[in-house]
Amino acid sequence: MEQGKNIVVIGSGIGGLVCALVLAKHGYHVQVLEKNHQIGGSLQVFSRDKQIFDTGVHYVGGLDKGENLYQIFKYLEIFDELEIKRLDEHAFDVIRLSNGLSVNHGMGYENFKGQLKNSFPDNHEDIDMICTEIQEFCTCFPLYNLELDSGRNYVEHPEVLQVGAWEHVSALTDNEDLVKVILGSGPLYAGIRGVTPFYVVALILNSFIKGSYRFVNGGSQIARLLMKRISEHGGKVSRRKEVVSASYNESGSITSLNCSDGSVFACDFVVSNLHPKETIRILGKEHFKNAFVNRVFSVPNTIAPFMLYLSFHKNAFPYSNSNYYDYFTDDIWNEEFRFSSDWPQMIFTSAQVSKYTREFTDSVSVMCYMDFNEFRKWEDSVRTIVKEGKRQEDYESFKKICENRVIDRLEERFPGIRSKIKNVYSSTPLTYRDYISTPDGSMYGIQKDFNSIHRTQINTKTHIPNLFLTGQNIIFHGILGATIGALVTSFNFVDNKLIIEKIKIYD
Amino acid sequence: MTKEVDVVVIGAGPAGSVASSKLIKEGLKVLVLEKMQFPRFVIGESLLPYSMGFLSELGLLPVVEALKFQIKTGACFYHEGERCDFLFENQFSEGWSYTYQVKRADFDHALIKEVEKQGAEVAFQAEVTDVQTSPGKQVVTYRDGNGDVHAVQCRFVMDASGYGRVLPQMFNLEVPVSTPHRGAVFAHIDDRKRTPDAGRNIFVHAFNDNTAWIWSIPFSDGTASVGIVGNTDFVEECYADGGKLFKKCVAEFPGLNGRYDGVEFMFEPRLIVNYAVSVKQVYGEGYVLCGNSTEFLDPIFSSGVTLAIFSGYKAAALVAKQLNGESVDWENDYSEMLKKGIDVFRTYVQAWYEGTLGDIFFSSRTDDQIRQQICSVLAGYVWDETNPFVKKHNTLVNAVAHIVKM
Repeated sequence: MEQGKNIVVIGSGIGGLVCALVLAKHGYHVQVLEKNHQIGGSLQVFSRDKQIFDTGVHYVGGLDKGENLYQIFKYLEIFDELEIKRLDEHAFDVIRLSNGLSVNHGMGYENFKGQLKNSFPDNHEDIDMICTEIQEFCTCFPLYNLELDSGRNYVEHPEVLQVGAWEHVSALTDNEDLVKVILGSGPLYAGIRGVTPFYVVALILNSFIKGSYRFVNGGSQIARLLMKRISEHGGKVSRRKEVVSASYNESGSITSLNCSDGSVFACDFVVSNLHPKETIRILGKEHFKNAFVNRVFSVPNTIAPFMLYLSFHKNAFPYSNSNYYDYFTDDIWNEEFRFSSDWPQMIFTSAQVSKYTREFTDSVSVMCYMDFNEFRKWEDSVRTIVKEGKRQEDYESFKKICENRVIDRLEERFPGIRSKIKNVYSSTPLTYRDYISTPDGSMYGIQKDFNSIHRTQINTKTHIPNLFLTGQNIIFHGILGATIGALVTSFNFVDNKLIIEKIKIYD
Repeated sequence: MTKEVDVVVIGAGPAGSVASSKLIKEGLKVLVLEKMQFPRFVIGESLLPYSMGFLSELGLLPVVEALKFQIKTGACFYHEGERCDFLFENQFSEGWSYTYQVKRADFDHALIKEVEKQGAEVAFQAEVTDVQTSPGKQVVTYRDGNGDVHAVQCRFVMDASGYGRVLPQMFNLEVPVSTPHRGAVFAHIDDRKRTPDAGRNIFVHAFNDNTAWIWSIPFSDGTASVGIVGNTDFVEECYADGGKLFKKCVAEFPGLNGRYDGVEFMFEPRLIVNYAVSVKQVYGEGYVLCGNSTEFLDPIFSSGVTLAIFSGYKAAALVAKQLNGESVDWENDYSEMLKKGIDVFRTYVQAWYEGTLGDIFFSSRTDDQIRQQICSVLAGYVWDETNPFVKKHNTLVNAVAHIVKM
């Protein structure tokens, strides 16, 4: 494809920004359109009580020197300016089961295994085998290893996609607690028994084992740095630009994108960073093949989050350099997300870190999951900073009830925390839907399902000749997943060998 | 003609006494068979406040009060120069704020004598040699002090035989425990250097990286019980050579400022090892186990006598119910219930030896509410599910230990 052409990217999530930057670096004129007042998609933050709160991203893996994301971020020229804090070497994650068992995930495979072996003295062989399997599966994804090909890859061997995570790990050990602990960070990818593929677990867990970090003052710095680089390469990122429709020529290509404020952006190519369902809705169903539309509208999406944001009194709550996955049910990976007397059955807790964080933390984010149906009655209301809608009083009171439930749970695992809280803020699946534009506020987009790999796989090419897709639905979600997805999308425009070579300089 | 009673109770310790007293109150005819002659020495000298309610209800408290035992108002833990006091008056649960440190020879003897007055028939030096059970009728055979063998027919057998473990051994109910093998070496000493306010409560000091601890239990007669608990190898070392190492440890007892330096030992140190036991079931056709014959965890929280009194009372109440023709859900109303309380203690025992409980006790970050709730566990109120440190014991203890170290 020719350089110098206009590419418009819809959405400024990390996938859109990385794709835009790669293309800008290669001579394309890129314009990114973001509907919100803040760029970054799931990298958005907000601030209360002089604290910054992350809304979607709490930590990132693969950032140790020489690891995959480290190399890509070096290539994107953002690594050196990132302010990150390495999590606890021996406990980047702490998994706490309902039976009282508490096990740490450590960084580096030897450490990771060592922590597990301490807790499971009778299962040393199982642990070795499971870790070998994780690493084996990772080799089947060449781009993940910054290669263009590998001895065995998932394209030629789609059977590696057809292995269930819970099922596979359970087959490797008889100790169910060990299965629960290995898969205890499942909320990172909304793991479900009978659905979530093992490769998703392998790729994500492996990246965290290889260097997990928190963002100092929030993950939005990634979006900010990417935007800076995009403009240095002549591109532009515009906010409060909500694309509402597209104009087509007679051959079916998009000629321009139309925004809600009346502005029009002419384009040679379009890259959509949105959820495919949202992409179809905005660009017009009739321009896509029925089979694709039906598939995208019928596949399930991952669960939506209910997030709690706590600020603390000064020097009151100790800073922990670990993330906590706390379970209140034995039925891990099969938790009940409806609002019941048991809700929530899982909470994820992660302290925010600022430049001034020492012994105490000023704030933590807490995530749990909730079925969107609990919010169905308010689904017609929309509220973001750009669209200042109102929601009913009963919505606010339900939110309060949920907040208290989560704090009750926190009190069980962090006794005394309630008395240290200064203020409580929360967001619901509706908040997520309005800011991130995923169906029903889904956190990670289309639910990967090992039983139907083709239905849940999204290609970067579409039936509209000049429309390409990127974002968390392409390869997998998360900073690493969406970044690799963006590379795949960019390969439609630039030579993949060339890019990989440039990335691998930072090996 | 074979003698007939409603219930035969094996053992005249606290579990047997309390069970018999309850059975008599329910109008049943009881025979207690005790292998020993009372009074006799036994270890396990510190009670918990939770036991007081049962003694009171059964009218057994006046005889205990009359013996003027040392009043116990709390427990004190000591580790590397740091001291942590729990006072029962500050506890979270509604309940008794004190109990007693008792010389068991006197305590046990007074209880069984009172129960005898209440109407139980008690045979000392009566060793049970055989028990035959069936749905309606049980036959217990025992040998008396003269060597004569007797058979008694009854409707139910309660085993309160403690370390005698009569039915667990006879019916092959014993199961091994997975905890490390521990033991205790102990003695009574002349504790005359004690000041009045220093000497009220049990004093526990952990050492050797939390693998061992030493206790001091003051008695009202100016003597005290001291002992060391640790892995079997260690306590055997303490016991060896006339208890040389034990005596040295006692003399240098940290935190007591030389109170035990050069004291007189009332008897030579004694040794007991591998006392932790468990059984695969606590009831069966025509019989039930209570007290130490069910399960014994560890002496650290002085829970033994209290669990014996609780289980003796509960089991007797259910026996009476069944003999009254009502149906009894032994599994839920006894076995599970007992297990619940023991499991609470188990969590705290494990946390003690892992050092996590010490982390909580000695941290300035542990707030008062948490201390009050833990205090109730230490007072024996381990069935009070309004106490989060009872209800969520298996997660909360670790969670608090984690947070104070964060």
